[in-house]
Amino acid sequence: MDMHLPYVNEDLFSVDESIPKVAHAKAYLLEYRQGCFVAFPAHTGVELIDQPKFVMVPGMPYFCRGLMAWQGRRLPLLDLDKLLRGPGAPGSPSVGHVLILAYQSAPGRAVEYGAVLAPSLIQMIEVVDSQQCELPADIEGLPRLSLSCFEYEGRAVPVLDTARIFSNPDT
Amino acid sequence: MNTIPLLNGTESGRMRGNFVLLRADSLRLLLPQQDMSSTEYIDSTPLATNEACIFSYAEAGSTPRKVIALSEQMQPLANFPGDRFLLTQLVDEQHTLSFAWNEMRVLIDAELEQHALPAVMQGSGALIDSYIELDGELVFCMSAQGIVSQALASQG
Repeated sequence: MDMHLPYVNEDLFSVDESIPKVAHAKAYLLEYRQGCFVAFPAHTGVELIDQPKFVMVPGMPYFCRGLMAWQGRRLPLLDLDKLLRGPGAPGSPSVGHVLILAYQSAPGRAVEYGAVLAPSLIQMIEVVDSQQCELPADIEGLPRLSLSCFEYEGRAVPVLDTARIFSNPDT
Repeated sequence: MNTIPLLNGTESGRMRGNFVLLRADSLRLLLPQQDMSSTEYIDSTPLATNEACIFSYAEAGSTPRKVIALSEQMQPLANFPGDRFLLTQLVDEQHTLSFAWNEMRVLIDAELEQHALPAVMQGSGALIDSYIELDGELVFCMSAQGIVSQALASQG
């Protein structure tokens, strides 16, 4: 069954000044490989889809699974395990659940959408500033793909930048 | 001139002209009609040659033609699929090659909505930069030169 996630702001870069600054934020926690987690800012999560139809595109990057249909659009479907660990990452999850994410390639531009494989259940968690920590050193690409990192249940969890992963993750 | 236009950074655009839709299993490609020089039905399976993924086909008394059959990922197949019964010779100044397909459709004076692939799929090594949707199916825009180059590069 597909599940809609909370409302997405039309301008992901905008800041509501009426909301007092607080030292905590909500995030979606995604286990992209057993024991390996990333998080996405809560406002970027749009919908969880079960077994979407997708079409493979010849010549697509190794971390892409294809184009999937969603609400009259065709979205890129990414395998985060391959994106973060490279083409040699052993095994690959089948396309079961996928998480639809929103992003803006630049401030003021229209919100765009992409999808990532979600092989395990996604949790909504609350993170406080004191949980901030260093990015895991064993994944080379994380510094250019991450907004920040926090510690959760003894693990360092990178917060991925949706604009970066769906725009130009290689650069 | 009837070619598939470049979107030049825009997400979509309309194009009008004569096009050919070619299908190899689930792979669907759209070419300008002028990129195809000939089409023929074959009634026997092309034979393997000494070159990997290159087959030879000739009707009685005619000159053999080099044939390539592409996979759904546009890789030349090592074994000729039995259900490819259409050969098209594509216009390419450097090479004389025919490609084998399951299906071909000609779209005359068609107006089509061309969409750019998402940016994440247009990195280095990308073969395709745009697509159309036709009868609910995704059809990738290509040129004859693009197909020939990809086939030969993959074949080595």
